Amino acid sequence: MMVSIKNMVKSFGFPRLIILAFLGLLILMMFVLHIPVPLTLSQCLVRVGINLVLALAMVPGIMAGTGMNFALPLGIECGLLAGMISLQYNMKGIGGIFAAMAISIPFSILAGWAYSQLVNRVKGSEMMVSTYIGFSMVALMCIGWLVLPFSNASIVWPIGDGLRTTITLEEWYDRALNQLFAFQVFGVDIPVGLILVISVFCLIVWLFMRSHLGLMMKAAGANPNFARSNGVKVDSMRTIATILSTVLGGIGIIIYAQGFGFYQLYNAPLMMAFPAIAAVLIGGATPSRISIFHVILGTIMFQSMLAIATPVANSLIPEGNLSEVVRTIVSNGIILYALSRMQGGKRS
Amino acid sequence: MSSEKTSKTGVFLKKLLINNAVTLLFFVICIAGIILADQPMSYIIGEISSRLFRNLILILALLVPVWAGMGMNFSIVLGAMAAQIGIIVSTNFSLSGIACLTVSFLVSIPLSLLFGNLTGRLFNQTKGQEMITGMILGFFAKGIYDLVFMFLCGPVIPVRNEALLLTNGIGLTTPINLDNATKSAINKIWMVSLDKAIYGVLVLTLLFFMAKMMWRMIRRHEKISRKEIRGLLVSAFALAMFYLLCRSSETFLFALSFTDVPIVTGILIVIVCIYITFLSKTKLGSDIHAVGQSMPIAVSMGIPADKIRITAIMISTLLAALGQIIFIQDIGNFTTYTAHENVGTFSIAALLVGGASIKKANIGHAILGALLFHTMFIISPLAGKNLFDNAQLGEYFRVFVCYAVIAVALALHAWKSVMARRVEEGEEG
Amino acid sequence: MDTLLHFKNIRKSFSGNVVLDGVDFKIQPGQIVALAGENGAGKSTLMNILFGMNVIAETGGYEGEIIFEGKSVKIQSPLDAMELGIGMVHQEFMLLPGFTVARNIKLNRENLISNLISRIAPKGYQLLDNPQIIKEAAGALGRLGMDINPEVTVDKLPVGHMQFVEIAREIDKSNLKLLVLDEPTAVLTESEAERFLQCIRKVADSGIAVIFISHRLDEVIQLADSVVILRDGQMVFDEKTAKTDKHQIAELMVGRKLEAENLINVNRSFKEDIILEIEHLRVNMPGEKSKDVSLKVRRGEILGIGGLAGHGKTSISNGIFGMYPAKGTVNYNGKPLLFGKIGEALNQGMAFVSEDRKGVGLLLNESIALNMIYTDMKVNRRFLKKYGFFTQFDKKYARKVVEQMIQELDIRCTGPDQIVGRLSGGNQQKVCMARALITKPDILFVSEPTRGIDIGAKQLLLNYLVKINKEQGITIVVTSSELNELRTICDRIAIIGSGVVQGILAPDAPNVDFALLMSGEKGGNT
Repeated sequence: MMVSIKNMVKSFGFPRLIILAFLGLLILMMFVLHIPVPLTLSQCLVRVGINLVLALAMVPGIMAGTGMNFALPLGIECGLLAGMISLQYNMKGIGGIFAAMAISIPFSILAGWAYSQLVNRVKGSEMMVSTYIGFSMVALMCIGWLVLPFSNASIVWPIGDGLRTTITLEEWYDRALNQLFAFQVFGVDIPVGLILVISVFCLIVWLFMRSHLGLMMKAAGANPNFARSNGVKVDSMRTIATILSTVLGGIGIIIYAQGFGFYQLYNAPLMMAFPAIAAVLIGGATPSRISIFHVILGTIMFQSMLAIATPVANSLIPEGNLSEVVRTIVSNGIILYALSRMQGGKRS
Repeated sequence: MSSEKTSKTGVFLKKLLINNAVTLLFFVICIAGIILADQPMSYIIGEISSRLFRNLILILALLVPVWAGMGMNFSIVLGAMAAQIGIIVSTNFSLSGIACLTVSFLVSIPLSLLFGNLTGRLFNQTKGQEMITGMILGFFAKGIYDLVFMFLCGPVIPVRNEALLLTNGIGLTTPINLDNATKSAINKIWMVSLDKAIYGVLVLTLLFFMAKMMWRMIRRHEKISRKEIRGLLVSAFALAMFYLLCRSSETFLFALSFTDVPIVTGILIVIVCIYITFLSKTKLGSDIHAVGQSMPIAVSMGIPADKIRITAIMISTLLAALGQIIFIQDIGNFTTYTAHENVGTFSIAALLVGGASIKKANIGHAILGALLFHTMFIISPLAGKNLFDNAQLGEYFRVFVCYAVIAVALALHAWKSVMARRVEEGEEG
Repeated sequence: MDTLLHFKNIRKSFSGNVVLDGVDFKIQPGQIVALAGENGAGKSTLMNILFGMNVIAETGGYEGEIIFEGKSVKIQSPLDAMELGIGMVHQEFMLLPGFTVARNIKLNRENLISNLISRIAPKGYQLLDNPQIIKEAAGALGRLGMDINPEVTVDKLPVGHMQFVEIAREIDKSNLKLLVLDEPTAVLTESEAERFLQCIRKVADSGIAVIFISHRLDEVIQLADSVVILRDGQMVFDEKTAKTDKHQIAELMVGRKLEAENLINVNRSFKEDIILEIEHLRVNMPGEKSKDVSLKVRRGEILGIGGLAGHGKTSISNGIFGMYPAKGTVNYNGKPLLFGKIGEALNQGMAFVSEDRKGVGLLLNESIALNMIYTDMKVNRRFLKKYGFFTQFDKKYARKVVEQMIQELDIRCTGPDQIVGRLSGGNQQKVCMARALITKPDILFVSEPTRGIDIGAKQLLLNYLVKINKEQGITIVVTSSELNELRTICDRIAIIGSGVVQGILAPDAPNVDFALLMSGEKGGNT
């Protein structure tokens, strides 16, 4: 009996158990503190929805063996650039969102390709290099936001140069997807449009994983030598995976921004890779193995934990941002745990 | 034959250029920046010198883990935290002046050793990925630090000095200011103008080499090595040159005499340098180098690699704590929750700019790097303002450069090692 | 003379598999004993026991006794061995490239000077006494008769000198009584090897006993005072060198009489229809380089490739399949094969089962089904449903084919969805074989088909190779370290030594011919 419980804990993973227990505690607190449940649940749904595609961007990289894509900000910057273009030309509503996504794709492909050339030359140190490539791109784009020739009065500073730090989307497509076909059940808002769109993306990635290309990519990641002995060009697989991950990052930030109601420029994307990575790790992925289930489960666990932690923390300690601290500890803690289990790149 | 020779020199030059690309590029950026910034020399020299004294120990703290093959130690952030905890504790007991800083350091010693030990253990679990682990560990530690000082101080941990607490009694205020007696306490002990300080250093170096030669000749009856004679000549030449320079350029002399440097802080830096040099000549230093070159071989020869790696990180964390105390006393205050954040990134970028790599770093790299990096840091907003009429641009530029330097250095290193492996395989055939 | 070391009736088994049985011999001080045997004869296991390596204790220890200087000793760790005065020079160099020769020789045994700080601080702060280190290192090198500058860093040293530095390190230990050398001359040129042997002689003359492991029989004869031969874990020979010769040693190493009826494919005749012609192939596979291999494979035959480990036999198939950089020409069905291009050999209808089952042959975390159909899916785009330019894995069809293969090869598993990593070695090997066969190849390369698998599976696999050769007419090239296995199923056997084809023999050629070819003696025909 004890052994089977131990095995269960082992297969489920110790940190996941802690997070689950913490989540349970938060839910309990929510009732104890009389925090309105429907509102919090609505929050959960939105947060999970808008973060899911960003987490999904981890799938190709892990499949192809480049590991967790710490350079996610690269894709995010491409998405933001496309978003700004969509605002500049006043693309509004659902159409505006999809236009922004479409515009982001060529940027992402270009950036992803360039970045993949680097990734293929630094095998073994991908994580460290990609982190700093992500950081430098964010800093470079800070300059970009200052000097790029955007002119729409609603998005640039009234005085001085450059785009605003935060741009509210009310004029364009604030929560357009969330509100599409939305309805209420017991006071909980169900963002049907958002759920539909993210389901489509999950389905596409799932289908991709089972396609010829996807299976080749999986082999290249799981065992490069096996792939080579079967005539798979490992470097091309890694290139394609990096591009895909960047494209998903770009689309992900647009979905995130519309659900959030703002585009945040300048330094905001700096740390955005970390919650996405933490989410898939919490879902059960490892730096070398991932499935769509891991992405969905992880995002649900991580984001609902944060969504519930915010009101709970605020009613416990009104000052300070306790939920932000919790996010820092949990997301970095889980990444540390995953790193410590890698044992020099090997992973059973 | 001759063509082979020229190609060899070509390769050598190319190698020199590639290996020092970052440093050379920075040199160009700095010179261009100085010209564009169009500032009086006294301002630039003053700023650079004060930043050099402020930051150097933090950069030196990175050296030992590089020897141990663990790369750039991003977790010196934990050492900085230990120092800040020390200062918070001594401020809590309303200490002031040198006493405050001494107690702060005494408190931070066990803390930084503990943090270093734990970090080392974690790194032993993540061999080959120390840098990314160190970076994430820094973020994680920040979470814990925030939790303790933002929420637990007050309700759980009693705080005596109420000026430290926020008005509602939960969490520490930010920033934490050192009182007037404590601010720059170490610096203020003895300030000397820069021209005199440089004379002093050069004369002392000359005396040191002379004394060493005398001792060798008279006490040990050894021959004097060429290296020593060279040292003597170089220091004498430097002294003469400096004298001439001061004599010939009025503005230069004025800029130097206008700048005061903290001698005691300088002595502390020298002590750290001596310690690091001394360490490299000891058994422990030899073991650290051995582990850095090849862990399997070191282990097979009976060197306890894991223990040595932990020791290396502990030394680094302790030096970082000392460095952060020097840094904070120089500034006079610190933002409670963010002062440690950039310690790792900035120090590492500076060291890399100085020509260090993930595998090799020495005191020279640290000093040169600190000079170049902080020159860039001071002038880029000014240059940005003059060039584009936008200081913000320069600020973003320096952040970009800081990240880009690390990215490029890491990528170059990784690429080189991949290429080296390929060449090795190719040559064997 | 007193006996220095006595292995007394040593017996060792790994999970029921006996790898050493009744090994019993003595070594006197100043004596050089050569330890010979094929790969897997038990030499390294014996050395692991002598050095108290962890593997031995982890797998249940050993039986018998080691008597060192008249006392029965239990060696628990390499440190124990070192304290007794047993040193080893490994095949791969244990030298730090950035350290000087002197520092390498004295590594972790540095001469130290205590100082003010080391008296109050931890011991690690003692200073290195560099002049003394250099002096003692130079002394050790001098005793070997080597003139190497001890202040040069090792990365600037020619490869041939590194071996000497390693030996200097061992003899610098004041208590050294026994020195073990594991294939020390493998990386040396001929003249270096000559010098090396003189050097070992010098070591032995100073009273240190030497165990010398080598495949080069000439060196064994020239250097050793006595020879111990292991074969399949049994000690088959322990005599003074003077009483034996190269031929006898070679014969004893290979040993085992083969009954004529076990040889399946003797005297089959083939037309001169060459399916594959290899000319001057040179493959740069680390540890298994081939230098100049020329071979012709006839359509329909089973060709064996044998030879000792490290001589390049496994590099041939790896080179043809693009796994390692290679030069030379390979003609397949009369047309040149672009073997440098990844996947080209597969596209031309060849198939490959790698010797590295876990590293190259399998996706350990994936299902049997995916592993089996993988090559065929990549090369022939089968097992896919096509929707325009989009494809989906056809699980149903794959299942059908895989189940059929599972039955045919008698793979013991819970079904096509079982994870390959959980299967036994034999069943994993069958999965690899199935993967190659599903592509319906004209020619199949199999490397080490029976390495690390149990006897039952071994026999089944070999019989299966013979069966597909006869029934489907697939030409097969088998590479194996187990000579008898090759002789059982092959029509011809090429022996690779020092990276070239030493000769091609019929399976019923005498033992001694095989042994001499393996040890680098030219001869044989067919």
